[in-house]
Amino acid sequence: METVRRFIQYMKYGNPGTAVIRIGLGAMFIYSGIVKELDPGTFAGVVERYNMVPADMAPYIAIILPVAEIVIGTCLVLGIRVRASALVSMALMVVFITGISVNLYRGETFDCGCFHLNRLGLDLQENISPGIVLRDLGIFFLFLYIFIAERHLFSIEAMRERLRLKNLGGLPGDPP
Amino acid sequence: MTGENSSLIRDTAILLAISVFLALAINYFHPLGFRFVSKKENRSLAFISVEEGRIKYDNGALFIDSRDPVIFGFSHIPGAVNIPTIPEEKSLERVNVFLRTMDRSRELVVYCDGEGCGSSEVLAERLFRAGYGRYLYILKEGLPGWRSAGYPVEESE
Repeated sequence: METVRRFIQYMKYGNPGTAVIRIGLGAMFIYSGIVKELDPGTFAGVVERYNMVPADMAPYIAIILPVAEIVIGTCLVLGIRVRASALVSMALMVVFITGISVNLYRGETFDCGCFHLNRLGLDLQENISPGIVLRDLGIFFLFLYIFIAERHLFSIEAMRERLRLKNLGGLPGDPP
Repeated sequence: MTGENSSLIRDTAILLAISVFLALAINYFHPLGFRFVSKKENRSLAFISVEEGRIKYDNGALFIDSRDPVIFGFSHIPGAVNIPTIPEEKSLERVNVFLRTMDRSRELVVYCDGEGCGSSEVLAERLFRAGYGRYLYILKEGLPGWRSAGYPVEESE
């Protein structure tokens, strides 16, 4: 029982695992933001296809969303304002999951426009499906994990904290 | 805890503000970016000649015939879709269905029976009001102009 409790504590406190997840998800957001940003017109078409907002709104979303993804991704990779980035990411995942679920319920099938994998030369179909919803749900929980974690290894935030403590006079040993 | 929460809210706001600002700046310089057009300018209808219409036709534009279905049955531009302007209620319904199902990347060219017929403008106005804002043209000389230029017309006996 004690081992389990300590394991949960360890997971929650932040460890190399959270760092890998954080940097991986950040890189994913940067990539998906850049491919969308390369061709905003196509992405506006994708937004329109979801039929969740008035068609006039699609260009605004196509302008802002990819850049937001790149900004958040960069913050996650570098480890600046990690909690806020994870919070915004979770909000984005909720939006994506809702959009895909509603269209699945409507009986639609179209390319989800998530990662534009064909740009990488991969001939993978990314049609909206319950699988994609599950995948996004999984990503949501990973972001939640990052949000809860209390410290982030290999991040600018951690570096600054170390520097601050050092300036206070001597680094205390790692907390128990 | 409250301090932590307020700094979280502040950080989130900062992130969103940076994103919006950067997004607008990037969009401004992006070669494929969007240009803001006032709604007033956007609503103005573009009239095109039959020659311009032919170029659009060859490039895959979708032609919309705003005349009566019976007259449409006699003759129309090949591939045209018929959306009559009367009765109004039915016309509005067809416009909505059409906008939901059409391929948004195709250009639209509306025509009727020549310059004075007016129904193409009425229909174009309805398409705008139903939320269509791009690639909408009116064939100024209508079907008679198209026919006299010797361009293809689908006729039935």
